[in-house]
Amino acid sequence: MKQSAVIAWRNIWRNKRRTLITGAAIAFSSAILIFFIGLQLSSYSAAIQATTSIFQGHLQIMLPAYNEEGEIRDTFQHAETLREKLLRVDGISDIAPRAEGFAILSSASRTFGAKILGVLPEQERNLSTIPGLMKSGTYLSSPTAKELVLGKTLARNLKVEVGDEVTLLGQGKDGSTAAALLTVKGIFESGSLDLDRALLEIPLGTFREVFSLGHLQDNEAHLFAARVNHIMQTEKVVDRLNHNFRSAEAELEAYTWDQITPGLKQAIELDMASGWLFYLSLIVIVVFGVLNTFLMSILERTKEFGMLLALGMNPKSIVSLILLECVLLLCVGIIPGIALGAGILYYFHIYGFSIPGTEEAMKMWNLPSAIHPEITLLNLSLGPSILFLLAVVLIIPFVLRIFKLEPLEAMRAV
Amino acid sequence: MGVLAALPLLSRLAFRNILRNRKRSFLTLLAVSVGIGSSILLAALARGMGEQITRDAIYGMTGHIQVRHASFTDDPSIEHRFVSDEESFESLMQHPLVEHAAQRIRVPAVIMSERESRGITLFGISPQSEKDFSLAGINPNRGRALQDSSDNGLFIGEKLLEKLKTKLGRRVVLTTQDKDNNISDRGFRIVGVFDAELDSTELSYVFTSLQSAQTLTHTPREISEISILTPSLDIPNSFITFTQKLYPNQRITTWKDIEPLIVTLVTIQNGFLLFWFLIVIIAIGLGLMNSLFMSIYERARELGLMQALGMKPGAIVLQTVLESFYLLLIGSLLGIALGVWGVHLLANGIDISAFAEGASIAGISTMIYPALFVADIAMLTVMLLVLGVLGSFYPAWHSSHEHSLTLIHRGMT
Amino acid sequence: MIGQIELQDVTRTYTQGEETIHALHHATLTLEPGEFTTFYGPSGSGKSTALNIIGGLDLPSSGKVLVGDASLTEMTRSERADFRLHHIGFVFQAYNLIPVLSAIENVEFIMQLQGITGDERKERAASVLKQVGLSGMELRRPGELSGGQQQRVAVARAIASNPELVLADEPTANLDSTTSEALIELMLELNETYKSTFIFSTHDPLVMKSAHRLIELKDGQIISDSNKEVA
Repeated sequence: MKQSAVIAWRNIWRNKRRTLITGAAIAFSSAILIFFIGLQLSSYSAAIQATTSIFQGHLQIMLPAYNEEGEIRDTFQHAETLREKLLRVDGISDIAPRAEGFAILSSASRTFGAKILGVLPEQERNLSTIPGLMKSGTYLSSPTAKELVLGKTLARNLKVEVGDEVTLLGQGKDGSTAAALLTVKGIFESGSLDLDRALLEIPLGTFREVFSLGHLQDNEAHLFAARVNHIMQTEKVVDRLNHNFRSAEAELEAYTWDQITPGLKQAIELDMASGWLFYLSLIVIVVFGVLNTFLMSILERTKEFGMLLALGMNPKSIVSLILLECVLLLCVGIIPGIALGAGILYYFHIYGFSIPGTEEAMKMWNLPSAIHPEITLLNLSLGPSILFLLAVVLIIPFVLRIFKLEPLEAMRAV
Repeated sequence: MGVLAALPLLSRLAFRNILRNRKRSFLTLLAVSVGIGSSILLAALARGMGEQITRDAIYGMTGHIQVRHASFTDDPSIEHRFVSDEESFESLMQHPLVEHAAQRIRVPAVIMSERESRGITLFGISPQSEKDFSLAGINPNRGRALQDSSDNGLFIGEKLLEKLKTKLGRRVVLTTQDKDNNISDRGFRIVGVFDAELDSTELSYVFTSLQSAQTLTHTPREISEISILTPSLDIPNSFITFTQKLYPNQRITTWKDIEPLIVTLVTIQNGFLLFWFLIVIIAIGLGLMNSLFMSIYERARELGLMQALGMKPGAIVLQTVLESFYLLLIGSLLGIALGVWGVHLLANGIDISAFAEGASIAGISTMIYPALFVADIAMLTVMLLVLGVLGSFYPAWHSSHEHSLTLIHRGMT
Repeated sequence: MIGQIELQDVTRTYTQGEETIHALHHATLTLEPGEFTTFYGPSGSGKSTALNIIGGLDLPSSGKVLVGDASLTEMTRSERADFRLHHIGFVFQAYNLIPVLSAIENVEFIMQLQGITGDERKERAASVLKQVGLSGMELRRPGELSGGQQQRVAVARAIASNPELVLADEPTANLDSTTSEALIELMLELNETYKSTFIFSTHDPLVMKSAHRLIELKDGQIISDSNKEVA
């Protein structure tokens, strides 16, 4: 084996220029793949990270009916006691109750319809980054304060600033009119186009009163938003909740972040799928080049193979020698390619990758204007390993010709 | 001059050299044509997607140009309205570049059924002028379309109907702000339901007649926008000036001002495709260079002989460059055929409904239809031929500069 | 020991276009162990075919080939390959050596395939190279050796594991006469030392003179054999 490795290594350097050019092509495409895939995967995790941390949480717990219909009447009671129990569930790091409603908002000069969120300010601080993203003013102060915070686009549309008053007009849980006059406490800029345009939060106590969510001591809410210790555990925690918790407590069901917003996950899948169409075409072009090199190298050495067969060498040994050469040649390209790709990723990891003029488009995906790609094993290995596998698989039919070689004919070959 | 005179002979030599090692030439051609073909196909898919998003917006409710109150784009409120001037509108309609034009009310509103409320955008339209033009003119899926400018019915999307948990023929209440910033509401009967490409459209667009919208907002004879359809995405400045003269107090906005995200998307796409073409060409170029070096290596003895017999180095270089040029040319033609064939195969569209909710965030519908841009093909091919031929000068130069005797010697061992 | 080599009524035909060529035509022959035999004849006489058939590189169209107890005609392809590896040493006209390996590595390489390991292999390779007069050149690659030296490496490789039979097909074809003679001298010497059966083919009258037993071929038939009269 050691001897074969030596022979294989020397063989690939028999034609130095050919090996270098082929290696350069492999290195170039590996680096390109690493750059694009690294950028893609990093923006996905950034988008997921932003979506789950700005507001939504990793998972949400609610009545199945509320998940389907989203009607104000589908509340559950005793949110505080439930929260205490849920906090003890393994894997959950933070959890807070919320209530949701719809109201017509009127400022001094504008009227808009918007979704109203009832939140507990203290509990919300650990769950959502919005309390820390106030552009002006401050976050909600107490569970019963007559105040609101809202996204900057919504504030602009309503033409309100901190200290202005906004009238809420909607329908309560019992069908009665829900009306309130609240003061703008703060305006946030979340970096999410949607949230900045549509989100308005008021204290949960105030919400319960305005929208007539039962008696105050009933502690009613529509949902819990929760964070888990690590996003990868989300599914496991949701399973745990749905198996152990659901039967014992109210008929609540837990949902993962991608069940709540299937759009993001699908968008990622679509982007990944379309990305791979491009990557595969690049890989195929480079692999054809590698095949060409190998075809030439096999044809050139037909005589030599014939001699080895004549001496009694097993064709299998020759085949494994060539496969070893193939692997080595690929490594000659892939290793510098990975180094180059890692270098490019590292540069953008430090300085950020951004395309001027795309800030708004990035916000559509809750993304910052510059992506700082991560250097992970997956980012570095995904592209090159597909290239590697495809090259090795496609080289096999060429190599199998060795089994058909007759020593005498091969030695006579030109 | 001598070299040029030898061109036919050198061309023939170059061709023979391509044919000499068919397996290698085949693999090289395969790499060139797969590279060109896949790039053409992928560019067509990307362009198709971009075109579809643009078209959906323009033929949705945007149009190519809109006449709006100067502040309306930033603050789409009823406050920013203007008086509909029939005379100007008539002159506008006479202009040869105007295919369609429609006057509308566009205001944010809240729609309430017995069970649900949602924020929407309410359009007050003239059904005749929206027909064959915008989303407002599409055929109803159920019920009827709006009939005239005084129709009191409401035309809404299927998805919205579902969310409101109401039915065709039922009444809903629309609430919006009137011209004095008082809340104004009125009951409407849902007379028709439409089906749109994007869920977001079905959820957010609600149509009634121009007059009933004007009644709701207490703005008789006033409008929010005039949407104009012209023959092309590129709008001549003269036309913008013309429109501006007709409406001196309003702002003439193009679709690019109204849909900046689409412009960004198309710009990113253009940049990416150009970058991608370059990557593909470099990958192809390295393969080609390798193939040329092998071809020279095999013919070392012969090249040495040619030089020994007195062939000029320039002719030797040209011979190799021509070999590369022909390989690229044949490969490009095959690649174009491959790409066009692929576009043809996918002409019925690719169904991406599995990613529907993700796609709709970006405004992409569930079907993608490839759109072949001749400019893409031309740019790709020209870039490949130019860069490929330039790249082949390295091996070509090599073939002529190696001492003839070394070549002869190496050819023997 | 490999014992006797017997060709029994061996015919080998090739079709070339519409023509049928008799490369060997009803050849019958017995070679004793330890003999040094030369096949002599012009190109196309059948001497290479005879050598290839004895070496199991080629199969007769009819007839039987016995090498000791082994009937080559009844072996499978891979059995013959194995037989070649373990019992026969080959020296070819050209392309004898692996260009990327040094002289000593070339010798070792075949021994490694034969399953000889470790220090024994290294010592043995060095000693045969010394025997063929190449001490000091062990580390040179084939490209750095003259034609004659390359063929000596090939001979060293062929005898390195002391095979029962050494076959050399026109080993001197690319060499000048002095070098050719020296190579034959070397092979004769090794034949003495190792007691292997040596067979080589040549069309060079100068080289054939040194043969112990000379078998002359023409048009696929044995026309003379210095050991006995051919009918």
